[in-house]
Amino acid sequence: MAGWQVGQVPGAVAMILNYWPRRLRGLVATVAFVGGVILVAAMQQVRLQPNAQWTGWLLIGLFTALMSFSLRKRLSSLPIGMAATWMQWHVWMGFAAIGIFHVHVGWRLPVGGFSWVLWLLFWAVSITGIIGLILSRFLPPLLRTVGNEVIWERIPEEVVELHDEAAGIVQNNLAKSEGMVLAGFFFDRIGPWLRRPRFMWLGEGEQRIQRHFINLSRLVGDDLREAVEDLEVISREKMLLDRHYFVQGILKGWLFVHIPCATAAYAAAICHAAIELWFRS
Amino acid sequence: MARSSDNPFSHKNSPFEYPLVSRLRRLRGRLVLLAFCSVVLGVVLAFRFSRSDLLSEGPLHSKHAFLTDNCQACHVPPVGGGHATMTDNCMRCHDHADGKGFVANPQPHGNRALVDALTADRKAKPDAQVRSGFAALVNALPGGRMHQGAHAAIACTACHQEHRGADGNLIRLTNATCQACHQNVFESFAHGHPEFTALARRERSLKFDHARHYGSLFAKNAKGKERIDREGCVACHRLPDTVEDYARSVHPVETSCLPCHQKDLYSACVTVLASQPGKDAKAPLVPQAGAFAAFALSLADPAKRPDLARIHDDGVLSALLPGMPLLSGVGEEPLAVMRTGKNGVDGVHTRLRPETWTAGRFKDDDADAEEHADKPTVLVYRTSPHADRAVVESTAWLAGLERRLRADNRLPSDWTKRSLDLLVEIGVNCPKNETDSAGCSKCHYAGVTANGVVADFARQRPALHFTRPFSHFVHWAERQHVGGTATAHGPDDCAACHASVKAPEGEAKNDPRWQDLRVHRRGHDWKTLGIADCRTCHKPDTVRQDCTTCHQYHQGAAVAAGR
Repeated sequence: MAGWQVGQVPGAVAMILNYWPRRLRGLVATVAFVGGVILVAAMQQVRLQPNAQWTGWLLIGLFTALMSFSLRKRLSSLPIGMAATWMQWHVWMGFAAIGIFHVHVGWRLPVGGFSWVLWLLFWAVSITGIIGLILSRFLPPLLRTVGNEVIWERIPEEVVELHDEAAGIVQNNLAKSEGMVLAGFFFDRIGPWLRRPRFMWLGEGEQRIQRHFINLSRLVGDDLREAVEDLEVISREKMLLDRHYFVQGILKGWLFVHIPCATAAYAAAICHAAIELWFRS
Repeated sequence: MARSSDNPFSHKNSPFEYPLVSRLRRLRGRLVLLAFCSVVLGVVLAFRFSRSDLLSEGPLHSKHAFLTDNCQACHVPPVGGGHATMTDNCMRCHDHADGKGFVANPQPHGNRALVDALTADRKAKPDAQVRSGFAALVNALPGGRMHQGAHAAIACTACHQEHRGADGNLIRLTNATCQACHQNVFESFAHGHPEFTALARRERSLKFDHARHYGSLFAKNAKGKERIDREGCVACHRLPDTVEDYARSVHPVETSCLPCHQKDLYSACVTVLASQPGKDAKAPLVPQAGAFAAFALSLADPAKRPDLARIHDDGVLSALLPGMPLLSGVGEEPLAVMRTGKNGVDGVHTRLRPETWTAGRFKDDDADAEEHADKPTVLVYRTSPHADRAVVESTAWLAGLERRLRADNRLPSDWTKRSLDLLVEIGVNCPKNETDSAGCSKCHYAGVTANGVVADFARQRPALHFTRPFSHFVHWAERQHVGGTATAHGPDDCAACHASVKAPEGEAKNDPRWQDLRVHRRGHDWKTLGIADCRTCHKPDTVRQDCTTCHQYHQGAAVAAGR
């Protein structure tokens, strides 16, 4: 897509057109879709025709399409489009669903018990989705500052390898004069910490680790200097893995709220449709 | 990753024995399953044990609360519901066009035929007035307009929304929905609403001159002045309780007019037949009433014309001319004694011999006739001073007869002259001098106009459009609504909206305004309310001004019947 020349259009618009063309298209398409639905609903209202049914079926369709994104991630081997494209569709359809939901409800708060359940579940899904969208935009840059790219699912194995490597260093130096000091430091200070990944950023941990190893270097001789430095390197790597574990854990953890809420909302919507059909209202 | 359990450096106690991905997916799967099952199970349990409470969209309105545990009273049962709709179920209770609060006549404004008649020409020829806005756009689309056909159905639920709570608003009617049918689409009450004078001016039945009464007549009459000063407008006017009562907005004549005008009422003697001794007694004078009766008899179907020799028999007259009252009397005493029933005159007991009537001759065979042998004998009917039943019925019968003849295209060319002569004869009208008119027409509008006979004393003529009952502005209800205190809509502030115009100067009869008042039945002596009067309060950001503030969709029995 050829970039817009600054000067032809206002600066902010040029920036949006140049850097967010995909978002702009999605935004325009979503606004147009929701606006069309609102327009048709208003026309139907003028004609004294009900809006609840057709907007309800439209919502069911949107919910189904949104839920299919979860299946798409499970069926990554199928050639059904890029995950990023699916994600874009998921995001914009989610925003569209928020607008259509209000048209369906009638721009008011629910009254009945089950209606409240549906309303709360929908908003739980919507809010967790928006929070997830925000996190997915702000946390990846934070990970780049951490460096040391690592796959979240492999972090525990990486941690175990670091633990075993550190344990091997300690074992190999047990026979030396201050070997027991090194072993004590391992068991008391860094062993439990190295045993498993920690869900924390450890903002002050770097200074604490540095302080521990400065104290350790005072207690051991020159023959263990190299081992201490190796352990310090291992500890710093573990600290970076913890940061990855924390940030990537957040990026994946919100789905533990979003997806169950979405499932519950979908089930409630299906039940709601069944009840409405049952009473033919 | 083999590790020995006795090695202190072993990782044996790590919780990460299994791949993290599998454990997380399993956990998430369980959460999803739990959420799904919770919802479905909750719905099933609610449906089984408490469906009206939990699964309902919301509590019913307090007026429908008795149906809370009876969903199928409104909702069509899923099995065995047939082709019934929810509207059908609504109408099982609400199909009562009783004119009172429980009205639910489903027809647009209570009368589909009236609406169709009013909108028929609009469909063919769009109104030239302003058409703009969203509603106009929707109407212009194919299938955009409501009420297209005579059988177009509007579900009750289109406007009435239930399950909004015990005190929820049952009516969801926006300005846009009103404008789905009303072609004169305008922006709001404040901008573009048609002026009232074009819609709501009501034909008056009385030639009451407010300005003259307030200007001079009340001042001359101490009793009247004292009463007006004490009671104000409600001395004569009543505040209707309902929209249906608007036709009776003036107190009965006994309390509103007669306290001052008792002496102005007098009986009229209506000549029925006359004979003039010394001339051809066999050719009596036949005044207008008798002439018109003969004229009307001639219009009757010859095949159905009864044996006039038996006219004195019960039921003969009513069968001949249904509803026609008989004007008959002589001198100071009634010559004939009428027996009237529900259908008018059922018979006549008279000293007129039927054979003289049938021959068009009059022969007085009264025992006292000798005393008057040398004098003209005049048979008259002496009316009661006010609201004589025979006169009122006669004018109503006259108008009805004209409508029938006009409908059958049998209206004689001399009908207008004859009917006007009859009105003059029976004292209803005095066309010679409008300002000095006497008889009924001094206060009532009566005469022959381009539209036919006008002498509707019995009941006010209904409005062709439903403008008046269409508005549900009720003075009395407005006052009660605010706790009985006088308000801008209350009786103590009549003059706040109803302002009189000044009495005419100079020759009143030449004033076009009085011509309007007396001839064209337009009441200009009392200022007609205009939309500007309402807009002083009903404007944006002050008092509500949506359509339903003043207008209502459902109408009562009177409007539905076209009365």
